[in-house]
Amino acid sequence: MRLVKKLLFRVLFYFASVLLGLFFVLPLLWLFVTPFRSDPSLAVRLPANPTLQNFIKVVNNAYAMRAFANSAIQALGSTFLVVMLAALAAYALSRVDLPGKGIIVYILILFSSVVTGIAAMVPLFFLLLQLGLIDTHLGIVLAFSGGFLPTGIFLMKDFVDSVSLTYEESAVVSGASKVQIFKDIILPLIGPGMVVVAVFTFAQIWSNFLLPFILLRSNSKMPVSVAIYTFTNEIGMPKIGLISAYSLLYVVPIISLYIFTNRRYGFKFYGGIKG
Amino acid sequence: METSVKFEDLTKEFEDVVAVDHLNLKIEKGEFFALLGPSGCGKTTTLRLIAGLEQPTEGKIFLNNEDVSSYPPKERDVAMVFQDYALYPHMTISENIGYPLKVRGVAKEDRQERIKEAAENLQIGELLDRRPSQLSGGQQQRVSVARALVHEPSVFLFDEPLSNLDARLRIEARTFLRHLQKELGITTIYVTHDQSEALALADRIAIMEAGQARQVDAAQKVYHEPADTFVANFVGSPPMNLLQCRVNMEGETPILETENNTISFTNLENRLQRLKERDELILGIRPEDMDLTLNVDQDEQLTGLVGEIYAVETLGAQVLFSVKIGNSMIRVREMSSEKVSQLAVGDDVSVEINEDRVLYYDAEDKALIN
Ligand SMILES: Nc1ncnc2c1ncn2[C@@H]1O[C@H](COP(=O)(O)OP(=O)(O)OP(=O)(O)O)[C@@H](O)[C@H]1O
Ligand SMILES: [Mg+2]
Repeated sequence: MRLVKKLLFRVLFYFASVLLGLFFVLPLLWLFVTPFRSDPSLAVRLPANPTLQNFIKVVNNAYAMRAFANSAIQALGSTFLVVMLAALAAYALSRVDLPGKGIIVYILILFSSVVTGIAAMVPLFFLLLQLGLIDTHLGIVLAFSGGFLPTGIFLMKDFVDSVSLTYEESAVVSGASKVQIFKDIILPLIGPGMVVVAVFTFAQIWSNFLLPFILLRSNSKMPVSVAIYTFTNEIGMPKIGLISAYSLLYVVPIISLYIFTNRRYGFKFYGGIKG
Repeated sequence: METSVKFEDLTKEFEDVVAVDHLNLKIEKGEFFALLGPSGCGKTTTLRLIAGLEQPTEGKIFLNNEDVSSYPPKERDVAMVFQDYALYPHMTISENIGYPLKVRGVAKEDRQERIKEAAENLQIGELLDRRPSQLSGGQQQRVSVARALVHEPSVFLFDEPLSNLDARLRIEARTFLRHLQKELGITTIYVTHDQSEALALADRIAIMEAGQARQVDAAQKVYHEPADTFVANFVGSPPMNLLQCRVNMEGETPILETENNTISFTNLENRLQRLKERDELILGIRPEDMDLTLNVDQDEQLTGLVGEIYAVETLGAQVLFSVKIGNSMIRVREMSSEKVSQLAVGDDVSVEINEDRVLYYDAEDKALIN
């Protein structure tokens, strides 16, 4: 009797697990399969006669392509700003002895989710309005940078902390200036950390919908995340073929970014002298 | 190019510790000078003050009679070898050695030439294209020395550069450093807590304790005439034997009473006056300045120091005996010989002291009585 109960439990357990797995895998499968179908629908079905028609439609859609350029400008611009400023700020936070440094860092983290969060949207909107930055790439870049800098600084600080102070002291005694030390010693040593922050920031911004949706107005400046949302026909039905192909193109940069950084950096970082 | 270094009342206080306490020292041009002392006595802090990595709380530092106390490190023209070498892991050996030249704006070809020269001087010429992680500890140590000497600094600072090496390499590197320093003639300040390293390398040694210099003297003098019992106890391996004694005058002859023995020395005339003034003193004697004789006859009433052998340790050509006398332990070093090999643990022995070598320290202030 006990054995049967145990067996039954097992079966139920596996059944539930598989169901749960499918629940998560199905959308992914849909994303990789649907663009190649000639009769795209919301069901996951292998393409009967595979076609690239959907992709051709996307590429010929000027609005869709412009959105890619917009996404690139906004994501790359903000990422660059975040990485550079985070490196400098993290360096200062790591090396300067401030009273209450720990609290400052903690508050930074707390705020990081606020700026790009929904709660701050209204004040953020008014702020950019006053600055005349609504509906500009610069406005978006600044808003994103503000949102992701705290996390960037926090991540970066860990990397700077792991760089032994004697490297710098040795360089100081060798006669190097502060700028030279940062450029020659610190930057190369925290390079992997900057890549981590860059990938993280880029991926977050690339997929962010709310901020550009609220802070931009003209269609010509919308990023991909917003553009996808507008692919509907006259009566508001989504154009599934177009959307699925566009979505697949949309995730390609993120996936390739992860593959590239993992190949290039993996989890290998420069260690200290003593292994 | 040769530079002297001078401290005047040099003091460095951290929140609640005085790391360096009114230090006054003068290090001559071209001298190999060692700062020796136990952990936490302020050696590293002193070195960092010279390099300009720390600012003195009080006092001044002079390089060639020029007050550099407020100069940034760059203008002091010193080079420092760190305990962990601090080789930049992302640069090749060649780039590491050339870095001080690079930041000084030396042209590339000129730089290459001087890197090569320095590397050859330290016999690491074939390692130039590698990275620090691909070198052994001994090689890394040489690279850090090469990096320090490549721009011909006026003063060399070493902070325990050999402590990460194994015993054999340490001796090799020691000899090499000594040779190199004499060849280059660059004033060198060398920090160590290893007394044998300081004795082997330095022309003069400052023995430090709690931020102060207890004795500053030539290596020989520090060893043979420690200025106080702290130095006596710190220098030498094993350190000097220190025996607490009472002074008893028998007529004009002072008798020294230890815990349960009496010692009378014959040629005390020159010190008689000074010993007479004291009731107590500390007697210092190096392990090699004593001899052991086996007490064959158990009944004979012996004078002098008598005790029992507690342990025998073989140190290659020499043998170290620990002899228990009352509650104290005395260490005696003997050359191995036929006679010595007959001595074993538990034997009753008498200890003969080479009178000329005995030092007397004041029981109160622990200072040497001359
Ligand atoms: N940055 C600092 N902040 C506070 N106290 C310090 C600092 N640097 C050194 N000290 C203190 O100053 C004293 C001397 O330190 P220092 O590093 O000079 O000793 P040291 O002789 O080099 O010892 P060791 O042989 O262990 O290296 C120690 O008590 C140490 O704790
Ligand atoms: Mg030290």
